[in-house]
Amino acid sequence: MIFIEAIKFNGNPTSVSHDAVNIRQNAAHFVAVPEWRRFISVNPEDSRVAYAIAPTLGKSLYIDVALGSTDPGVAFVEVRVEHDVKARPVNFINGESGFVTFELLAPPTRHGHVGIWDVEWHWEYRSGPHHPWRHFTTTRHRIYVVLDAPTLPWKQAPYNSANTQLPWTDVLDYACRWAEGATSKDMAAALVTQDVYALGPTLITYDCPGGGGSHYSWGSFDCSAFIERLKGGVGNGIYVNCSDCATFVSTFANVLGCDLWQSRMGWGFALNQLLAIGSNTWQTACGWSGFSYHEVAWEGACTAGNDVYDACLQVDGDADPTAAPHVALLPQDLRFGNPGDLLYRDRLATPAGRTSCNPQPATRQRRVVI
Amino acid sequence: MQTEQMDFLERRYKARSWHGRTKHAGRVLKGISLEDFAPAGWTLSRKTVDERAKTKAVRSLWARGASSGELLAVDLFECASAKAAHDQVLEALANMQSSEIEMRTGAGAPGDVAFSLGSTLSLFAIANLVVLVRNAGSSVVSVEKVARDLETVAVKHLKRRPGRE
Repeated sequence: MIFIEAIKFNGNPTSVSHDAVNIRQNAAHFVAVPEWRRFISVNPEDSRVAYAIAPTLGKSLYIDVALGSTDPGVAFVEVRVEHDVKARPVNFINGESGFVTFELLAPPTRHGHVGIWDVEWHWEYRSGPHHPWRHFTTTRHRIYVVLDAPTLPWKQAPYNSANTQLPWTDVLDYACRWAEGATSKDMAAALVTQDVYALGPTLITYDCPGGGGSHYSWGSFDCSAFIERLKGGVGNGIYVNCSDCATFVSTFANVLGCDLWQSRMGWGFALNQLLAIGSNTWQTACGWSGFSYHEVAWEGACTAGNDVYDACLQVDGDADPTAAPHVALLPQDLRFGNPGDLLYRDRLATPAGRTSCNPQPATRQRRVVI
Repeated sequence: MQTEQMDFLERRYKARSWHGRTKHAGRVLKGISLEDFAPAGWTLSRKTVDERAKTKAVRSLWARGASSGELLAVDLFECASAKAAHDQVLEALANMQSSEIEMRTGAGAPGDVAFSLGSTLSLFAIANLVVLVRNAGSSVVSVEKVARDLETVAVKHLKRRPGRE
């Protein structure tokens, strides 16, 4: 009998161009390599793997497979997964092959967009070119596909269990679903923004009772609490503010390969009427006259010339954002702009408030995840 | 915190009138435990200690009743001094967007310096300790009594085993 002992998808942790991205499950649990192990890995979620599209474009992807044979008479076979893993010869010495490198034929990165694929591989062997292929085992894997190598706060090094900033599969579970089908970084960030805003009012809502305070992102990003909230638990409670939303968007988009920052504007400015996350009433946030500051997910240098993604509120998208009627516009890939440009700044702040609503690029950061 | 935002907050909240001033000069609370500061009638639901923070910060979530509708977030910051605590108060204000948060004065205001938004948010410093009490559940409750109770606990500890700056 031939069997698979283990499969390594991330054989080379120093590169993402020919194999998988370095990942962990969450702050507490590491994803060990080999990702698939005999008797341990049964369902797709027991064998999680992430690939990045951009660095692997036009390149072959490889896995390392350790096979075994209980038949001492078997010394040489060919092994494959039809359509998925290219056939190659395998030699057994004392019933073990050691790790043997296989080329993937059609990895999910070929689709060219973000997604999650649960794959089932039916492994076959044959004794020689003129023998029929015989099925010998099935393995199941969950494959996340992101656009590019994750950016900060996510790190690829050092690759060890102590590095809690390796991309979390708990985050990929949501980010890849929210941005499913995205073929560009702007599209992925926009889809993440839409889905974060859509969490209101059921899971999160703007912090009117607490003065718009940060509940998940004061200092570090309490991503563990946010994930708990997403899964229906208490987390850090129902309330969020702009810093929280900016952090959700940028952290979840950056795990997909986007390159967003959390950055502020200010200080002390009056607001146009808007729809805060979780609210369906057009008013200045919670009826307050203004914001002491505001924070969004921001591209590039986080200046007036760069685009923002704001999952905390919808602004008035029509020709006159200072008055009703209102047309709800969720800011996605929208340039911050200067007063009079009728871009993000003009839609958020009143004409009098716009001069106090200035980009503060010195505040840009990517909060570490805890 | 960015200098410009700090300047803005110091002007907005008239920090010169209170920063560094305490009724408990020279005394500090050390080694605070969350158990001492448990709000009466509430059950601990979650506790987080941010090891990366410069100041010892204990963040906690408390539930009341059967449903998770009533939740309180209580954050305690043990600073090195009263002055550092007042910096921490400004840091807390720097993470609140509302333009309507006001300084509380008078006999009912807890601690050395206090800020609130109606009865649903309380932020105060007493000696070197900063306390932030706010709602975290969909059923909004007044936090005033809890804030006063926590101040009472802090005063008791300052009298019983005062540390020195």
